[in-house]
Amino acid sequence: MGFIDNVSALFEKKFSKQICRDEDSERLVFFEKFKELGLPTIKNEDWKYTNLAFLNEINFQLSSCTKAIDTGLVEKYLSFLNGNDKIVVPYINNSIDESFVKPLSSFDYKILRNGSFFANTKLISKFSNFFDSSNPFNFLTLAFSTDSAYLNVNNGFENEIPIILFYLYDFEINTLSNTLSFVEVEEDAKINIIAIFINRSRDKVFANEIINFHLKRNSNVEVNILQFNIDNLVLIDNFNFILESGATLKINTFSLNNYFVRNNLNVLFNEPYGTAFLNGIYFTADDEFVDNHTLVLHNQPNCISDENFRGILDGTGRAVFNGKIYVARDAQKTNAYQSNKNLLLSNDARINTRPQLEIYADDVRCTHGATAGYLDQEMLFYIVSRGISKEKAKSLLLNSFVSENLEKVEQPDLRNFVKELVAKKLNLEDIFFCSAIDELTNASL
Amino acid sequence: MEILKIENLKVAIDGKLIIKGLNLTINSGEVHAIMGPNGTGKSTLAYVLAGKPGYEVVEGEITFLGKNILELEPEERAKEGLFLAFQYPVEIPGVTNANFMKTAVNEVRKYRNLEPLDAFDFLQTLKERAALVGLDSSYLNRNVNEGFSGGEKKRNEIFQLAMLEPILAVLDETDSGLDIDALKIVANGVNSLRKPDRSFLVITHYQRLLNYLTPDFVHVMYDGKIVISGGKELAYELEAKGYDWLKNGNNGLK
Repeated sequence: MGFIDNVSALFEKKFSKQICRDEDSERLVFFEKFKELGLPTIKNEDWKYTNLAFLNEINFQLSSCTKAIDTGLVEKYLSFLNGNDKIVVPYINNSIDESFVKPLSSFDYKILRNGSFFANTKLISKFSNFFDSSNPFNFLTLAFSTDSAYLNVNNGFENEIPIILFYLYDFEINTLSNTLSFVEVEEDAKINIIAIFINRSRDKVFANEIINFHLKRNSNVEVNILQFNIDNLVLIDNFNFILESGATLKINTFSLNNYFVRNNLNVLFNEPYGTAFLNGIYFTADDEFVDNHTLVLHNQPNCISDENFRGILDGTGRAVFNGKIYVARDAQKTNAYQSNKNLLLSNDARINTRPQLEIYADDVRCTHGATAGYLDQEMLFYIVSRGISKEKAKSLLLNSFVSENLEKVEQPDLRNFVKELVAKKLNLEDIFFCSAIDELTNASL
Repeated sequence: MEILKIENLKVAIDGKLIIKGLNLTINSGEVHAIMGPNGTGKSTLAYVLAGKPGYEVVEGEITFLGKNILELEPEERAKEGLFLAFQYPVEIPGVTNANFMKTAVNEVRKYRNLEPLDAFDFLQTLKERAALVGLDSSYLNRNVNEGFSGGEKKRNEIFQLAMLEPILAVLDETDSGLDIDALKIVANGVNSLRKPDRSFLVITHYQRLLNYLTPDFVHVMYDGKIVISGGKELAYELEAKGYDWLKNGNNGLK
């Protein structure tokens, strides 16, 4: 039937009957725009190495499923926080379960139910600042959007308690998920966000989630994006960030065991003196695909961006890195760095990497680079010469390859968790986690 | 007891013959030194013993404890009790010395049917052996060789030697790049590890290491072969006369 026809029928069925409502006419505008742009093909530069034709083969339906999820399940997935305090915003099967949100005094939130986003003109106008109108999926998300979350972090809020954007998919049919989120971080506030994507569905879920952040002056935001064991999930996430003067942003993505993931990370320096770090780790094995698509817009002077993505590709795994740094004419004294390194473990693995710089200012310091290679044989020999098996030596080196980015996570529970996930993936738990040696050495030094 | 026996060894790299018929026998507890000018195949010998890929044994045999080690993988050779202290130790970011050694020691112990060391004993041993070569225990939590100075890297090699307790230790130019103080520390470390059931093969360009580490035998290697062997006094003679002495055709005919 084709993806466009498929979603057209779904749109018709769900919204067209009640077109008298304002929101539905808004939806229609967005949907028409989506249809006009169509499903991107590999002729589209932004999707050159990311073939979406497989979407045409899946028959998506609408789900009315509002499965109740018990707290225990959420706790289970968040057990890495060791029972420490957290604020959870659960996006469960397309809707936000408010009963989980534990309010704090310095933290406001608003859940905009089914389409009421469209009635909120203030939010709409804020939202439009972020909007990438070249990405058809943004229109698709808007057209089908269900619940939206608006979080506001008050001035000077500084809390170690992480805010969890918890995306859980547990459907029984091939279906779509589309939510919008808006996080406004007021001046001088410091927050830690963990966005975690979990799929329990056996059928295919096509999730298009938009998460927008507005970092006001001197705010400090760490966003960790966790994607692991998400078989059957076709995920296109759009994380958009606007930074005001003095704001600091740290993004860490961890894409481990995925079916299809496209991370769109867009950073806009709207005022001078902002800083953004974008770090990522991705592993792909047989039939897995991860695409990191980053755009850093230096529209203002004296901003710093530093990007570091590392990938390990095995079997028939594939990955794409497309990173673009744009430096506007007036954005003097820009410092922008970008690096993408890849290790290929098999002859069938593939990486397409495109680091791009587009610079119109003349007083800037920008570097970019990409590598794809195999394990360092000198290092490998050094390790095996100590009696360590070749398999384990390889694992140690792979761990070493990503360790720098693992250490960048500031939230300690999460840092240990991702280190453990990677160690497990590389069969190194016995080295890093099953012995007291680290604690002993730490304690005795 | 015979530990290592090399017979008529010929080794090529990329088709070019580097070692051209080398014979050497090392018995239990002996310290052998191999000296010689640059480019005569000393380090090649060290790598071939340890099993580095890319070195083609064209002819000859190497027996270690009665086994043909050319049929063993590098990790198996290490587990059998062969240790190579590298001339250029490799940096491994993201792996601490403590974890590296714990992994290596336990793999070797497993091979020898020994129980893994418990964490407390292991830590005691770690600290003790690190102190042997003057490495502060904070080194244990640092990544393997990462950001180490030349001297620290060499000391770390001897520390690993101490941890792995080999039967035969090959030291490849362990003295190169060391100042006199570091050289003493390294040599003292090695001396304290000498045992009746542990042999050493010390490869060096200069005689100075041998001032501290008295060898039982000195062999001079030139153009892929051992051209002359003798006691420790050979090292002094060589130092006095220089390697030109060999090149002028007097080799082996003293």
